[in-house]
Amino acid sequence: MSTIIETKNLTKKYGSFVAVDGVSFHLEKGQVLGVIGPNGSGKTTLFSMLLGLRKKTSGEMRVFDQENLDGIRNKMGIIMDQGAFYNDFSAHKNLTISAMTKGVDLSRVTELIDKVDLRQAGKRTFNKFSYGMRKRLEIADALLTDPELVIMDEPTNGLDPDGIRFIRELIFHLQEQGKTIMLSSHYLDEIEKVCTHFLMLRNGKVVFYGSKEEIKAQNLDLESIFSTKF
Amino acid sequence: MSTLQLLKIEWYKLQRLEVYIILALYFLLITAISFFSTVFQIDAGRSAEAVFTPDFFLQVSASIGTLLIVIMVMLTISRERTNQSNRKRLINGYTRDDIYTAQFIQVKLVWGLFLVTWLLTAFCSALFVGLNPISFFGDFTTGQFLGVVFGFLAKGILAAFWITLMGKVILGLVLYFAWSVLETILDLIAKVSATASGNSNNISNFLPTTVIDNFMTNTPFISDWAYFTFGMTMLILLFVPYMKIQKTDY
Repeated sequence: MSTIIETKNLTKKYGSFVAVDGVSFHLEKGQVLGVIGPNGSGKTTLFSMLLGLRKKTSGEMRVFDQENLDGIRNKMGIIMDQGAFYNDFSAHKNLTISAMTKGVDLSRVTELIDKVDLRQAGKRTFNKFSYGMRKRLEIADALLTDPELVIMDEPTNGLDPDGIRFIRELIFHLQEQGKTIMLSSHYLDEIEKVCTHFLMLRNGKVVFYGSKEEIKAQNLDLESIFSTKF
Repeated sequence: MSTLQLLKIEWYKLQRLEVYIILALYFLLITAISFFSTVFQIDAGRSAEAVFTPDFFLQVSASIGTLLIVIMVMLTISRERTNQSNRKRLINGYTRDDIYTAQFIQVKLVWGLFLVTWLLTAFCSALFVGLNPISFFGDFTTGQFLGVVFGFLAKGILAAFWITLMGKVILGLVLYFAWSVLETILDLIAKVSATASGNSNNISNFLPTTVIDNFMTNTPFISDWAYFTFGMTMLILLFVPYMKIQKTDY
């Protein structure tokens, strides 16, 4: 197995406030890592550092065995909590801009719009999309480069049951293709269904890190671990 | 990312309804003002050549063009912030330098569109008032042409400066106009006090936006200090947004 992400004592401070405090974990190819924690536990800050949006204060971080993300961005697909698209552009135009940025063949845009079932949106602009449609566009955007690593920050947040099922099936589908996935969620049952490994954060610190097998071996489930740690 | 790649993306993004509306508005407004002003004065016994001069056209087209170019640049740049697209751009592989370059390209594309529209407007306005457009262009001095070319660019850069600092179009516009008003008041006070004391101090050479306006309308500079002010203003207007983009957490 090859290591896709590895962090050692990764720390992010804002003045005296420590948002992420010495987090160490590694994510191997094909694994699905669920990052769990209450609001303010450091999940989004951790994701932001991995994506190069925020600079680490100390510690080590390697993605695809590189310290910075130069040249490997196209190996990563990102689904953030809030889709950052142009409000007055259609799904097609928004995806075309992403494809031009990532240097992807524009034929892939139509292919992905069909794949996430947004063809019926036609010329409707992004600001008129439902939350579920926005999420699907975000997914199409993340998959443009056929990435090896997919990072999802709260992918099921605010979705209806159909939307949640869509995301769950997507994760299974990506896993079957051998993709590596890192995701965060508030929904323990959802995360337990799809993840192979778990990282629990509290006040920026790791309070649990292990695999589904390790949890089963202790005759526990995610809910019981969560309730003892929080 | 390569500059060509950034240019293609920004050009693609610029193809939106509001851009077409603003450019069409500019064309229609200037053409209508030029036509009716000239026709009324011809009725009063003056010739079209005497009324519709490059100076007259510059006065009309520069003031409205400036306002519209500022609005268009602010709308274009603020969109990257309100849609959190700068965050997305970083995720997709832009560096912060790329974001700055893309912003500068946006300004230059808007500027280019306005120059083309300005030329078209001048051509059609001359035609509509019954002049030969080619000879009308021939009446422009090099200084007048350069004033339009660099004046529009300077106004675009000024708009980019305010919107990068303020984020919202309305705040950017308020500060843009507040600054101009402040300069006008300072200039007036200086002129009044100079007249009262019998000095010939002219601070307009040291007022950034006044210098740009004078440059656009080809008002002769009183001293070479105006060129210094223009250069320093441009440096600050380009450098401050660069630093702001480098330091912002997206």
